[in-house]
Amino acid sequence: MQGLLNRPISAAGIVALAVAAILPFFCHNYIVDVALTIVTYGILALGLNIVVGYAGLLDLGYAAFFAIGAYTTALLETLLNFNFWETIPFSLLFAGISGIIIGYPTLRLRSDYLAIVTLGFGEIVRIIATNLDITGGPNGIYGINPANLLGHDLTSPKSVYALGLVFLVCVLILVIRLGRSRLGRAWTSLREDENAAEAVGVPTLRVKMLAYVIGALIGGLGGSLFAARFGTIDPSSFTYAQSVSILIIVVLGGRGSIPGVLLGAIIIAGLPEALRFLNLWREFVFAIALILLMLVRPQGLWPARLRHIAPPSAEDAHATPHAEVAEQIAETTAGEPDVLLEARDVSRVFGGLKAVSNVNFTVHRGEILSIIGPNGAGKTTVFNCLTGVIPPSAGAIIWNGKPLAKLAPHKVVARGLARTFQGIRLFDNLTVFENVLVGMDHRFHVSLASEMLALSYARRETHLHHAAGRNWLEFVGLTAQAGLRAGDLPYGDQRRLEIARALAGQPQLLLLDEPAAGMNPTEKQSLMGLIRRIRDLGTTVLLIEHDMLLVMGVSDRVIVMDRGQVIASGSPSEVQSNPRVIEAYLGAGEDEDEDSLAAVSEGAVA
Amino acid sequence: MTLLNVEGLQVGYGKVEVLHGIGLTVGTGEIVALLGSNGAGKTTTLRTLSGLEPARGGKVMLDGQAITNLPAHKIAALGLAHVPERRRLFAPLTVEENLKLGGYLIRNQQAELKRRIDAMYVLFPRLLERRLQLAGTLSGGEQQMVAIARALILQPKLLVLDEPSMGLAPLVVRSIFAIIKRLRDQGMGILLVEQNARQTLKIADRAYVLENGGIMLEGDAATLAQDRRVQAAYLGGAAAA
Repeated sequence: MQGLLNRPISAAGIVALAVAAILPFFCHNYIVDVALTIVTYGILALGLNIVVGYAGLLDLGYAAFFAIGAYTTALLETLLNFNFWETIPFSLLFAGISGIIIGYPTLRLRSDYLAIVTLGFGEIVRIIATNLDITGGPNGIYGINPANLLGHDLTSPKSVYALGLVFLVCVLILVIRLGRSRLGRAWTSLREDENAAEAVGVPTLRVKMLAYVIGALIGGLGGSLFAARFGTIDPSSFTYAQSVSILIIVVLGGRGSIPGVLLGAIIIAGLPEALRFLNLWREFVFAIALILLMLVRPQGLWPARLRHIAPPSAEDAHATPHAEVAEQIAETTAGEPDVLLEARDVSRVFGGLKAVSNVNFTVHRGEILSIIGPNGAGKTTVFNCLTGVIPPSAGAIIWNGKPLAKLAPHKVVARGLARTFQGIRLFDNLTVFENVLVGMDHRFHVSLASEMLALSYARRETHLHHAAGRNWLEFVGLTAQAGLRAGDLPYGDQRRLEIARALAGQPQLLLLDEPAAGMNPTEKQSLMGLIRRIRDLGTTVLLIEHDMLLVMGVSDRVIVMDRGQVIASGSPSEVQSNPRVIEAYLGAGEDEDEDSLAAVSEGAVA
Repeated sequence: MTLLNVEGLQVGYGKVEVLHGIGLTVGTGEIVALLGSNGAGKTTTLRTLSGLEPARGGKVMLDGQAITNLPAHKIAALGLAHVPERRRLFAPLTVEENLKLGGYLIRNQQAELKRRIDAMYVLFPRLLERRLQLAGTLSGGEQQMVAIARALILQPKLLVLDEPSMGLAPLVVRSIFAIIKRLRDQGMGILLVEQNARQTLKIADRAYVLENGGIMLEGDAATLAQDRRVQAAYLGGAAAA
């Protein structure tokens, strides 16, 4: 919580909440009632913001969870004589369960399908409520008791408002803590690039489910509050238009931005009231105002800012125990076999086309091994098979002596195989430091709850992680850039950051897919140095690269692939003089362009 | 004859100015290389020339006509073709469909469009074999050929290429460079951005070195290849010799 107080925006937020808290003492009941509507929308929008803003999943049926919460409270109170407080756990439970039921099958789909499925779900819930007898059909449910606190019924607008405000503060604290936790970081990484997130160890399906379910819980809570406030509910409050209103709040305010979402709620729920004097023209002016606001501020009224986590200072990071990576790697690999990885008869077929056929090779611990070959030879497909992105059609991958069964990529990362991508895939809208932290979050031991409660042992582990993350930035030479937006880094730095992010998971094997593409010779020189230093840490390196100067200069062994098969392997000099390799890949030296080969020998001397 | 003349070109993103008034020329039948480290502004230069980024100052003349800040499709119609970085093909379309889209501006002249596509198959026989294959399933070198062929359909006067060798096998790089030389010999002007400075300076006639948004050096390619600073910064390691 200490982070809450040391920023001007947080201070402003606390002042705003204080103003909201004393509002009932000097305002008319009508104003308080409008303020309560704003608070209700605020709660709902904060919940939807987790789904849409943090995790980037489009949900068009969010009002369904609102409805489930409201009907649960209404039915339990009217049929089973529960009091308001007793109904809340059930509201949360039912909303959460429906979140799982809807989310589990659909979150595997692409996000636009999810939007359609949620749209359908929202309508189904409304139609069920309209048609069942138990829910009172179109007339809804009457006679819901107000919330009761210490023997007093909370019936007056002011007391219900106070209750709503307490709920809002609880939700606020939850979403702020979540946003700063590793789960919040995982959500953002998912929104930025789902495949890259999976490849650095984020269990994307589970993380999406969590966003969806936590969003559902908050929606259910909003529904309970709504039922207790009005004493009556009917299906007309839970329409598609309601879902869209909540979505508009999030988009208008600024996706992922908590102050933005609250500002959006004030405008969407408050502006129509302020425009009452316009009578018939009210809706028209409101709609025009919304369009103008979106045109002027397409990013939202208060766009989300970069989350800044300050890395620890150099002394602090170096003084932290267990920051010595090389020792740690040596510890984990002690007693493991010398053959780190073995591909046995690995094949991969794409619709009849054999991209990789019967490929065999071994990777020895501590070596730098390169795979070269013409474009389309199947090199990246081999990488994808090793890292679980696509399962091999046949054959086996033996990792540390045991077969690597068909695991999801994030599980492969946890086993110690990390990779970078051919085209750079960073999380552009996270800071440089946070990109590295995402890469190591799968190694956290403490539970999410203890992290959010900032328990002392959780804080200690977080500190260790931050220190290690800082050291990885230092390893690739990006310490000074830690606080920058990753997407703003120049190209060469982005490449190095991608390597740091992969290293942060402390892999035993690092797979680099064309790391030198687009680098100039000076940058390639420093990349060669970096690759050697990675190997010196004890991390084995498997490299796909077209730059022969780099490959021949840095590799211990080279494997050559052509048309899905291994056509040669051996030391750099053996491979370079192999006639099949020259024919398929390097090219015969028929004209003056052969400097690439000439340069290789220069490089070997240097 | 001067085909492209750029004077005092200024470009920026937001508050940051990326190009601080650069000037360069490309003549007909000439390969001009634009070298520089990452982030120097090479891609921005190309994107501004072809109308994808707005210029804040300066002017761009193509064949005597001002094209500064014209919309990209008009600049393409006037004879400047841009082969973008990473090729940017229409991956779910076939090779032939990609080429047809390159000829979008030749509407209502089916016969002419077909003639030009056939000419591309003569230049790139490999693409004839692959004409019905989806572009996204081609190898990197074949994709680069499609990207160049797509740009050539409009029979440009000036061809602008952004890192055509990126991610390609050495053998393929050589054949792409051979095609670029052939186009030059047919009288086309070529502006080439490359990281592969060594090979680029061999095929280029002249070159500019762009650093921090300004032209630091210019001259004919052979001279620049001997320049100490160029060797140290872009040819790598040769400085020791």
